Amino acid sequence: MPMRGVDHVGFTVTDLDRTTEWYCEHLGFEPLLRYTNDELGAEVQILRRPDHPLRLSFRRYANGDDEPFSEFRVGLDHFALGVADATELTDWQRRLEGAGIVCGRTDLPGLSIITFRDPDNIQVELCTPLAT
Amino acid sequence: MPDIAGIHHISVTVTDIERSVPWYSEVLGLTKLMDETHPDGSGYAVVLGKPDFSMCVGLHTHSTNERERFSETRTGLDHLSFLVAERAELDAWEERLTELGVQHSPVNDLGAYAVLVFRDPDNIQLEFISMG
Repeated sequence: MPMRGVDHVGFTVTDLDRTTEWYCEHLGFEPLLRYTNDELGAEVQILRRPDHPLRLSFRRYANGDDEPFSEFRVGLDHFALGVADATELTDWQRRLEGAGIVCGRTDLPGLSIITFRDPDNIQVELCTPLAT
Repeated sequence: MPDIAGIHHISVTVTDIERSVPWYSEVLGLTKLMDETHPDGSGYAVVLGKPDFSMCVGLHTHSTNERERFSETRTGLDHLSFLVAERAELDAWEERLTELGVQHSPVNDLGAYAVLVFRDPDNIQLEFISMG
């Protein structure tokens, strides 16, 4: 019973409107669904890319801590979205930097990565495919 | 806007990487793909996944981590969702998680999809999902 892969990632954020605007403007996501889950005590925003099944789910908990994200705490370190190749990665870097987002770039043999932060300081990466 | 191909990888911060690597390997059936030292010397990561790199999950340890228990209400990760082929596989996974003594929810049928939620040794929220 092998898994097929990662279906989606759920994030906890401090401001759903700010997050939605940022992922839509800078990474081309679009709002899919927004609802309140009383059982969880959270408001949920699901975003998708228009062209394929990738979804990201964001929650704002009523009893959330409002702290900026830190990768040193247990939980998320970072998440990475894939792009087709190094040329496309450079296009993304230009676009993000043009919008004032600070990007770090790492070029390894067979893997290039740009790293940047979302409004909650969540560490996001765009990566070229891993060599197989 | 350039394209995004999907989720490239996801990396989590754990409190005890020596405990988490065998746990993720055994429970999720993942293979160790590589080690990665943090450039600033503050810790390291072990990347687990499928041998063809179609799925990668990084486990990170940070020297400044305070060994607190995971809570999804803190900014960062809410949950990580793994796709399985069909609804029947969720029953098989439930049986397997019970055998392994992993804390988990019952399979929850939610119409368009069904989920089985479980926790890693740090209480990080994981789930299996089947669509349709």
